[in-house]
Amino acid sequence: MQINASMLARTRAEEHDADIWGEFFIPPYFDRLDLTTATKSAYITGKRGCGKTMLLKYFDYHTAFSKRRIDIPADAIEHVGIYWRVDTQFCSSLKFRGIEENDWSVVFECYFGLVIATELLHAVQAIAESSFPKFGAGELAALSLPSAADYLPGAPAGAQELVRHLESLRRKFTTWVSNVKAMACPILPPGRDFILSLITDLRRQPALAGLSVFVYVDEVENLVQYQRHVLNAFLKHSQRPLIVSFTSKEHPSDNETTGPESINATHDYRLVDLDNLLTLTGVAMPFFAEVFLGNLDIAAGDTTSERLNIVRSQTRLADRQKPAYQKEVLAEMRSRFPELTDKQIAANALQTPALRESLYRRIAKALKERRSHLATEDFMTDSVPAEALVTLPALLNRETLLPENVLVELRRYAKDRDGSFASSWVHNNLFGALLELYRPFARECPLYSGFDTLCSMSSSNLRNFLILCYKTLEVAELQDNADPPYSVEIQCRAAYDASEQLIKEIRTFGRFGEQLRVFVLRLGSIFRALQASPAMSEPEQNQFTINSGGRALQSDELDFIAEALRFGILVEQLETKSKSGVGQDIVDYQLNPIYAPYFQISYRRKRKLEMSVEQFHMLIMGNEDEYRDLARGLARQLPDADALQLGLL
Amino acid sequence: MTRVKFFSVSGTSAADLQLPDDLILLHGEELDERGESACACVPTQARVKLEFGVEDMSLTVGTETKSSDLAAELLGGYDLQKVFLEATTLGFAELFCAANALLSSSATTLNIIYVEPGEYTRVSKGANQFALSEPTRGYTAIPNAIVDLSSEEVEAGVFFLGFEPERLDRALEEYQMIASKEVKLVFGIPAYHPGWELDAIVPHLPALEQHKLQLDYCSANDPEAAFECLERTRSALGADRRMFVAPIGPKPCGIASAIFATVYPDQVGLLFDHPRRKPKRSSGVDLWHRFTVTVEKDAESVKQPAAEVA
Repeated sequence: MQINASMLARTRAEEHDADIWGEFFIPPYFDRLDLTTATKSAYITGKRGCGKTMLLKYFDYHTAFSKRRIDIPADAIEHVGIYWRVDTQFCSSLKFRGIEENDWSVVFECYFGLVIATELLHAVQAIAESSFPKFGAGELAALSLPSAADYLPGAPAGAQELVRHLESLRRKFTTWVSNVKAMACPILPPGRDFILSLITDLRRQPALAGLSVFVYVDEVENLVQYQRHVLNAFLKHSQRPLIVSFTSKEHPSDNETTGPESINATHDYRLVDLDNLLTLTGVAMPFFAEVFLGNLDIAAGDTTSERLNIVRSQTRLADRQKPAYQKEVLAEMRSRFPELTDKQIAANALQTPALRESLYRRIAKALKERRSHLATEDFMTDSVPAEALVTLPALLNRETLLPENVLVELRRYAKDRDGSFASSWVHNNLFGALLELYRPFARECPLYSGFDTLCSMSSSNLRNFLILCYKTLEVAELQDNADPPYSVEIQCRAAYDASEQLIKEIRTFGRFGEQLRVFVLRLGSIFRALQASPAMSEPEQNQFTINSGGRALQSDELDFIAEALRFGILVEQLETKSKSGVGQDIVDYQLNPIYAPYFQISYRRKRKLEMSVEQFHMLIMGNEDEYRDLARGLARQLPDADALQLGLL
Repeated sequence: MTRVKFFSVSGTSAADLQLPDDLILLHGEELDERGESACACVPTQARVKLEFGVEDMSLTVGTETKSSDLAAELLGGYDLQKVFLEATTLGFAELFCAANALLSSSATTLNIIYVEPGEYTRVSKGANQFALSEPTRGYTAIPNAIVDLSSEEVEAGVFFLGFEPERLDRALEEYQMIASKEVKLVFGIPAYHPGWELDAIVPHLPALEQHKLQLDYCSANDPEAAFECLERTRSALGADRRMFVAPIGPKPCGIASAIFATVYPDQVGLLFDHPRRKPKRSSGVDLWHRFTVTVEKDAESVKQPAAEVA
């Protein structure tokens, strides 16, 4: 199949035009959103890469009244969406500069009115040019908006003339913002009242009688505090025909308004957590599969495939819930991204001379250190299953286990598949043992392959999943092996590359970007060092919890954690069992599993590292020497040679 | 119609720049050897330090601080004929504030000094990455050149790029509306030294792959070439349209950007991330430059104050 790779590089919503009609894949939670029929505001949250912007573009008027949409129903007018992504650096200039905050607050309110009123008139124009019934070019030309002149002397009443007037006013406004001391502020329309008056004028046109405007303000969390309060006040007083909603990466944190009231989720808005909704539907995997396969069709030029038709249709969600359909989609993905069982991986590893040799040396070293009279050959016989063999270095390094007993158990397992290996040793240690076996071959660890694994590593994040898949296609293409199924070798190489790329990207994540990147590198290195401890008594550590120390977390540390959660670097989890066993209200933080291939650590949620407040402080804010001391202290079982290799000495 | 002309004198020391004896040097932080050398070319009493306050958009000139909107007032006490801008040590924001204030006053000529480094400091010996800035504070506005990227009237943008790809990455990440504009990336080619151009291009390759961006080049140490590069974008703007310039590369391109934004305030805004420049960010002193820029405005292009009052 010939595919256009540049189409597949588009994993970000902003790379699509404003009109995405026919390009949007309806998510499985779509009918739970109820945005078009809402009577109050929504606070839509979703982590980076969850599909939030595409969803809002779908609800925006450019798409809802797309020229490409052939059957726009009359009730579409009841939800005219305006998606406004705020320019935060522009908004941050609306403060200080010799002007009081109260005055800036009025200016910001007017700015909002100016922007949304202009967009509303553009929307009306788009409606006239679309297939929306009973409102065309003639009706647009005949529209009259006399209210505008009540606020803006000399403003024309015709819709097309008024939009030009408002655009000109916005230019003057921007120029004034740039030069507040050199010129006077132009007369601006009051925010909400102005928009409501225009809506009232527009509703006089019979086809627009049901007009309701829904404004979705994106990036609201990055606005100056008083600006959030202005918008919070708009949200609080939202009702049809003008409803202001927010979208954000994080849950609401500033609920104040410009007045004495505050906003709350019970009365003023509905919290719509997209990540949570996707989890609740329980069908993230089939949806991810649909998006990838649909994009493959688009990249291959087959833009009207049955798969695309079903995924793009709002009315066919029920068809997509059917088990037979989902089974087929998943099977298709599993055939493209095949996986090996851990036991198969172990068996294959021992067919590789370098890995077999490495295993031999590590068993011999363990026996020597335990001063055992047993020989490596006693253990490494052909009759012993590979999955048991690869766990031997860890088991033989454990002081609590006698090598003789391990050998007895090994023989028992080889003969009857019974005993400690069968009951727990293989289950508990195989995954970690394979990670350790492949550590010197960083980019080739086959554990990071298979569709199900890709889903686990993406942690319900659509963008991360697509990056993993597209990297696989890229590596396959480079290796002249472009057609599926993609070999495990190709997939694991791609997983490493994707992980590396996403770690580089962290430095662009807001004000703590570079600090967050260093934090990920440090935390990942510590988990890798813990993984490399010879006895591997705590395999697969990839979470941490802060449950001790001489003080509480300080505000800068809490800010850092909040930022790491906001950008999905850490995933907050309900507490897994704690060594102390004391039931406390403590959260575990898992390093996003998308970074696991880079560090050769487990992507599965298993064990956690317990650390003190002081240790956490060193981890995020300590200098290199302090970090190395910390890492060496945490991974104290690691031999010096390994510590040196892992950069901890 | 505004005519901008660039003249330059280059040499291996301050003596080659034919500097007058009585100049007043507006300078910034002396972070490295070349910065110290550049400031040392005038006596201490002839130096005036400028500092832009990112949080409150203030400007400090010597010991006096005001909103940078009032930069012309802050600099009003100096003899404009004698003022030189020391661009090696001035940050971009200070450079723009000063250039804009001087040209908005009666000055028609700007004199600027810039000293190239012998070598930029790398993260470690032989490393590909450079240790030039602390993590940036993010893009925030500079008064008198503010631009609203969410507006469709801003239809184009130019990034001058250097050795720090994270600065472009962050702009593209945080201002995703940039993706819908005509964006040009400009590399300094030829660079100050052969081979340095690769140090700038290679780390930006992932961004070039991911985004639809055009490429352009101009000499890294020639403000005139950078100015012409900006003019090419401006001349393609539609009626009533604006552009933004992000000078996150070589300082001579920053000089051009500052003058460009000053000369075309109605069409040009600045996007800048205010990095905290690291001490010892470079070593050695190489070429010295004196750039003289003359700006001639016809009567009708002189800005009129707005008559309308809210």
